[in-house]
Amino acid sequence: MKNILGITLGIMTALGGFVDLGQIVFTTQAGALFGYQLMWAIALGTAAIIIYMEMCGRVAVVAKEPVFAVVHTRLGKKLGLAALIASNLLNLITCAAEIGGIAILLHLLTGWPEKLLLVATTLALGMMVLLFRFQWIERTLGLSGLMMIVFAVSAVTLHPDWGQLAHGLIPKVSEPDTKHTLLYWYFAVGIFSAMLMEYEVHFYSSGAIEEDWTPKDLAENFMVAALGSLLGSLLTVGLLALGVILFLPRAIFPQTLSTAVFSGAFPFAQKALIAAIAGCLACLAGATVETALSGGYNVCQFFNLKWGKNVPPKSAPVFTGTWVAMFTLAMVIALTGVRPLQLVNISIVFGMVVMPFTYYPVLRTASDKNVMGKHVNRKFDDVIGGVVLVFVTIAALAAIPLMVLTHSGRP
Amino acid sequence: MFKAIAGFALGFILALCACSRQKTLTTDEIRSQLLSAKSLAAETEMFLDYVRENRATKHYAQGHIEYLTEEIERSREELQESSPAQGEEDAVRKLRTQFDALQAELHSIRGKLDDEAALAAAKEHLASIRQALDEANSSI
Repeated sequence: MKNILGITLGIMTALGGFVDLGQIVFTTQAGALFGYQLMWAIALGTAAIIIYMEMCGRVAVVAKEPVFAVVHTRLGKKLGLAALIASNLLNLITCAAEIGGIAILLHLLTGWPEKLLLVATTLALGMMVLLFRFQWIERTLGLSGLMMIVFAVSAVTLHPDWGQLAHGLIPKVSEPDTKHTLLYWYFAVGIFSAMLMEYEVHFYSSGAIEEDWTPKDLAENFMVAALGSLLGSLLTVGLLALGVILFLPRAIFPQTLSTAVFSGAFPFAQKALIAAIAGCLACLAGATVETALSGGYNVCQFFNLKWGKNVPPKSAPVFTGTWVAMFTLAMVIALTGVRPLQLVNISIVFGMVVMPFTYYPVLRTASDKNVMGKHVNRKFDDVIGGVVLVFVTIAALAAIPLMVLTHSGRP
Repeated sequence: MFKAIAGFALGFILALCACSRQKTLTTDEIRSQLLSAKSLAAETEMFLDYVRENRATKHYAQGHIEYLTEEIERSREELQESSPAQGEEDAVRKLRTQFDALQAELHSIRGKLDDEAALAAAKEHLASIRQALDEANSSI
């Protein structure tokens, strides 16, 4: 039973991590524009996040060093601090976007005013983090996020072209002009980035320590990382397929969260629509909590201060103060009326830019025999991790130029 | 370190600038706006069918129409704040007319989502708006 419940860390990390607001809309848009052609980006992102999530969990358990302690050690104080500031800025923007997305979903569910829902959401999630133990936060949000399965069921019910879907696993650029080629790469980088968002590994590695994992749990670490990510990936494929089946033939480019949501319940009746909204709500709530807590984890781990969701809030004042500040500032940003999708677009692109500064130190530490002992990376892990890091770096260099050239992915 | 942070902040500002619309609309941007308007019209048509089949909850139907209307208003404002490149005045004029028609249609059905006849009529209007946008697109 403990093992089964342990998987919820992976499920929450993956659902809140890469099936968040950005991925829900971004992937549906990618399907609506390019059919199944970007399936390979989902496959690559899934492999990459499994490899690095497992590595982060292993480093956290064996070396007792979560991600930002590793960043400090490997990048040094100055560069590490720059990475910390950039990462927490991105966490804040993502948190604001997700809270805005939750308010939209609750408005669709209840019809109540969006701004009121925004404040209520922030308070409710803040109270949840304050009162619940870490394990109960992950179980509640991870398991309720499973309602997102309605998206995959909808996609299967609408009979996707499995042959085309499989063909999409092979990258090929056959766009009619430069504009479409740039858009293709913008969406490829966006999907890849959304699946590897740094806060996933900040949260996952800290979660492994919160849950008191020991080296005996390393087999479970791989299973949790792999199963959680595969589930998230399956749902992402479902979103892509819905974009292909429902929107591509009608020349629709989904521009709102509400559009992506109704695609998830399209073949069914009202109850499925409510399940789709509830599933999205759980994923967005997961992402909100992950980004806010990651803000606190990162600061405390970098400066070697006491942290932990399971220690009394007064014993870890910087940690508590930081996540409370993250929630509060995110709410203020969302209340200004800035569009959540605009925020999430920025966070996906800039997240990609900062990504090498998170994943490179993790790879270095996992390969260091002095730190990891018998749990050091095998040659195979190093090669695969290195290849992924090369892809991450190329995508990081391309992200901003692609954003500018495509006007943030506008067809 | 400060250089790194300044570089990141500069990139951020550049990205925000890239998100904002330019004042003079190029042919490519006009085509992009046309596609966006056509997409919104097609989506509304599709959604009205969904509502007519009683598959959307009342709050969802109302809320989604609000978000579509907001999207149309945003595009319409962008268009109004920009001026067309030389030779594209006619296409932009047609596009503005269709955005106005689209906005009016969505405003009119907001309170009539349970009126079958009104939804059927709105669908027909949306199809003709889409056709007009197609014609405008082929004239660029």
